[in-house]
Amino acid sequence: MLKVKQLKYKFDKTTFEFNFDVTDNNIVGVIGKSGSGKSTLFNLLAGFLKPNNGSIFLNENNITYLKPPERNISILFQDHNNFDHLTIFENIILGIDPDMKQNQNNFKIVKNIMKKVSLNIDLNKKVSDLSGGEQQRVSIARSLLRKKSLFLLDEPFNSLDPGLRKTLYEDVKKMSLNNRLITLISSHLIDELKNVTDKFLFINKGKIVENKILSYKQLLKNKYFKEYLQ
Amino acid sequence: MGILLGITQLAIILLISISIIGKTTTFNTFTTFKKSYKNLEKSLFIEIIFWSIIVYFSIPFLVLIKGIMSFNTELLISITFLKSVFNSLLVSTLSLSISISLTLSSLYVYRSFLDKKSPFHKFIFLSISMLLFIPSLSLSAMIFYLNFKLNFIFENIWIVSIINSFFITPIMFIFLSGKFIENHNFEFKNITLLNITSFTRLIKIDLPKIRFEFILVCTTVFVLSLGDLTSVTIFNNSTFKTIPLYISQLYSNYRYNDAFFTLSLFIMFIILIMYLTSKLLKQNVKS
Repeated sequence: MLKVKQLKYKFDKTTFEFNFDVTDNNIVGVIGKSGSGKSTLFNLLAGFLKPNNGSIFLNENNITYLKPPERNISILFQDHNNFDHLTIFENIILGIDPDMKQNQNNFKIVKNIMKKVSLNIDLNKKVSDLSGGEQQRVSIARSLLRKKSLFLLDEPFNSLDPGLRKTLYEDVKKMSLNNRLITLISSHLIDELKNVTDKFLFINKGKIVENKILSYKQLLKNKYFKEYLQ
Repeated sequence: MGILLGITQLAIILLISISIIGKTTTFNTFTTFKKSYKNLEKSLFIEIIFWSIIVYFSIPFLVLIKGIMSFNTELLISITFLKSVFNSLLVSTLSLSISISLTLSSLYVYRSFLDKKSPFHKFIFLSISMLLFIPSLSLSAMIFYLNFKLNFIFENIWIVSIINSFFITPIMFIFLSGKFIENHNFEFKNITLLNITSFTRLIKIDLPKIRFEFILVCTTVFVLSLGDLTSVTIFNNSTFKTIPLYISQLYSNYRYNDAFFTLSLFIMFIILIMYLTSKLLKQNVKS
């Protein structure tokens, strides 16, 4: 379970304040205008930003002041999730072995995880030679390998074409549910998110509307959301 | 006088560049520039400059031909020549080694400040850029003075290598820094989350990332170091000579044919190094 309590972060003249709970095995869409605070929330959860106040609990553990690697978190950005000059094998195994040792065991692990994310390519290929969709699958494979319970996807597929986005969203949904992860996906493509989940955190001017997860129907009743849709 | 010399050099460089860019068909980047430049292309002035540049580019080959025509076996097997070659190679190798360590350390420190979002990274860049523009003669003078005060604790070979490395380190740093900190923000987040140590990052991620640029700049600065005459002019003695100094002494002694011959050997060696580097880079790209 993820509990975010009165989490405050001040940047320039803006104050971000987050307060919500997400139970296990859930996919939640994080939506809001550009600059509303979606990436700030993810950076706070991942530990890249230090909050001024409040706390974050993940599976009953207070992770508010833990360093990023000490948190039980994986994150996927829109771009640059991989090291382009390294091979698929190296990029995936980095998740559990920073030395990227080329032994039988590691190859077996990588091959298994590649099957799970439907990657049927030579694992010695450079990531820079892959398509955008394949590159994101490599990142997903690495995240899965790390077996973290909170998976943050920060506008992960926005640069890909609609067909590919749909497939990848379905894959992420399947993997999240199979691995019982808490998955937060930020995106401004709300119609596509609706196909993945009906649980949303809507951020307006640095605050989560109603401080809880809402369904799409509930969101439609909110005046700020109506403004956002326009 | 110095300023006048600098302005003249700048004007020559600009003229050379303009005429080359104006004639080239391969640089797509300059397509727009070329279009607006069409009227000038027909100018007799530009044509004269263009052909002058062709002559300029053929100078090394003219030296090569003249040198080969002045072939001298005696010089080739002379102890002074062989010693100069050995010293040159040793100085360049030492300079390159020192410079590699200095550059990688500087890049590492530079990025550490960037990681911490500290404005000190600007200071490092500024400081290294300044070193690039300080004439190597000034550096030589400072080290000469220090060495004199410290009662000559360094051998000539070390001093020349250290000065050369000071001269080539900023070139290496500026050449590599762009690639080294490419996508820095995302890379920093990934590295942090994956808990990769600084040493592993340097060896397993950074060096493979910059390897093409690294090979290229190492070759370039090695060749630059081979041809440097500044520091060796100050720190030479009867037993310590490098090829450039040897050539300059041949000129001073009016042995022009021998000077051309040595110079042609020097050029051939540089061509060989550049050829081997390009081969190596091509192989790396294919793999």
